[in-house]
Amino acid sequence: MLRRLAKIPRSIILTSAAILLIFLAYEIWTRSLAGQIMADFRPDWDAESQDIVIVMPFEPEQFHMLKLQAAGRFISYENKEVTLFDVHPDDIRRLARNYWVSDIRLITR
Amino acid sequence: MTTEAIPAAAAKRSFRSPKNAKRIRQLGGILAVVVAWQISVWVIDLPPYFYPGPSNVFDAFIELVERGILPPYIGDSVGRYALGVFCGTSIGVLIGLLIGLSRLMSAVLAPTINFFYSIVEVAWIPLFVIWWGYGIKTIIVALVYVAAFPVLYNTLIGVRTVPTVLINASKSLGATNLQVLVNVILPSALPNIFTGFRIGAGFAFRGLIFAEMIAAQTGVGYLIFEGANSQQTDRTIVGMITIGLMWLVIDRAYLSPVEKITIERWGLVSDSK
Repeated sequence: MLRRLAKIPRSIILTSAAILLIFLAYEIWTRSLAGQIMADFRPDWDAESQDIVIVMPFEPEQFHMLKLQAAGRFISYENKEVTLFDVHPDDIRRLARNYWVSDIRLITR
Repeated sequence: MTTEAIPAAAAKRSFRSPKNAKRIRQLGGILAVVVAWQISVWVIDLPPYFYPGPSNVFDAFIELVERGILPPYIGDSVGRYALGVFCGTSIGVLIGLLIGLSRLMSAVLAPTINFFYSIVEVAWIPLFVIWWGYGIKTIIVALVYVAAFPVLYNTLIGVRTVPTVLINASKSLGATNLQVLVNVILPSALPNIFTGFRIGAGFAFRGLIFAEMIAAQTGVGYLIFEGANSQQTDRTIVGMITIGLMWLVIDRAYLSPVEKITIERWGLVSDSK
């Protein structure tokens, strides 16, 4: 097995390892960011869905709107804040992992 | 020579090695293109949305990264490409073996495959979109279509050019059909299969960009198309440079070493053999 691995060209092993490392570093970084946002924001994990405001450091583009609309019902946008209704708690955690999300706030209807 | 002088001399030698000299020349070429581009921007003096300069493109790159758009686009494109090439290569090898090993299958399938090979994927994509909608399914099918044919043809050539004497010799020594396939035919056809894989992987990369332009809402191909549509030409150029860099990594790190091994192990092969 090791002899076979030794026959694989170094460039393939090194590039694959570099890609894997970048991917792992990115995952760890985004998970830690999500942890920071979720530390201040405590959703009701048993709730079916919740209403939230996503705060961003810039005006959202089509890419961001598609991601947000995949998580919940788009209600409004004002001052770099997007209001979403009916977002599942798991989707809130997933949204928090995007590094372009500055903050998430819970709102009550 | 003192002990301190040895590492310094070695470093000097390694810096001046032919490999490093080649790299410096390559970097010099890239730098010359960037400088010429910037000078042309100053001379022509057109609005940045029409003819952006390197600094505009660099700003667009930073913006795309900051806004979290470029990394997932690259991830999506690479994932689609890997899946499409894997499926296309597997299907190409399987059908190539089937046709190469069976005269009946060859008679039945060869004309049909020739017919479909002549229809480029660009013609299929609008139909794929109707059948599978916008998204990953259409892109994967398009990539499989593009990648499978070169692999199929090269596998076929590889199987058909296996010396009959080798097959007869192994059969006379008591080998079963499966043993002949695994121990004689497949190793003999492997250089051709690798050649087909390299050609198919190149075609698939071009197919990926085109398919993403038409049938996706993410990916580097989509970034190019959307950038041009919204007059954000700097973003279009970021997409083009990203594609070039992605192909360089795929080619230098994965395809070229495989080709080198093939040449070292079995000698040079070509699909015109």
